[in-house]
Amino acid sequence: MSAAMTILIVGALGAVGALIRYGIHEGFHRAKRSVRVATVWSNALGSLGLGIIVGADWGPWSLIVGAGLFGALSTLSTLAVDVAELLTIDRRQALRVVSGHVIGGLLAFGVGFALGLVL
Amino acid sequence: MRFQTTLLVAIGGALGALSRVGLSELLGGEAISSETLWVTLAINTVGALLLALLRRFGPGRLQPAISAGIGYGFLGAFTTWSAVIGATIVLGGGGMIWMGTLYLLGTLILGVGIAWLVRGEVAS
Repeated sequence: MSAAMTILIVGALGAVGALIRYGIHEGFHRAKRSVRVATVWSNALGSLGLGIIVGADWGPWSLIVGAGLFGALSTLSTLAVDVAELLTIDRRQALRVVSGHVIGGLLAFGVGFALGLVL
Repeated sequence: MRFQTTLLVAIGGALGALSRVGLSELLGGEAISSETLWVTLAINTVGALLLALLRRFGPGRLQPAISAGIGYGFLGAFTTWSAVIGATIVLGGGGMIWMGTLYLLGTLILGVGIAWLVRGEVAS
């Protein structure tokens, strides 16, 4: 694959990942549910997807789709700022959110990896 | 307005993912190499700092659509969690459970810590 093609595909996948994450965020916002929980779901989905392609091992495509799509769908910046804010207003909720990111991400990656192995 | 926000999130997402992948290609090595893990840690920490600054100083200075493009688009896609989870599990599976755990906790402590240092007034 040419460098220009790789750049185009990673860019497009990054846009799709960001849009899915933003869509989940807007969905939670409109349903008047916590947008901090929306990010937990985006990170679990991103970890599930990365687990699938690592398990399935698609060669160079694993890296392109993994880093482009699932790298952009999942995020650390919102997680960090959300938890930092929660630490000042509700420590118990901060612990719940950070646990959701860690445990949800690890479980989702594990499930994805197992799925990828049989794909 | 809604279309503009969506467009800016998409553009930001493309640029954020390209910046992360580009930096990893330039400065990193193989997928789970220590070089790549350091690059990802640096990207995540810088991204958390920038988002904390955006949430503190953005409102009233930047249009909401621009803020969304930078925050949810660029910084959201620039930083990543799936790679951190993946590295933790791959390191753990390779017998380096402590290294994996340290990487996960280090990512959280640096990101949350730097965001906590620059946070502004918090509304629940």
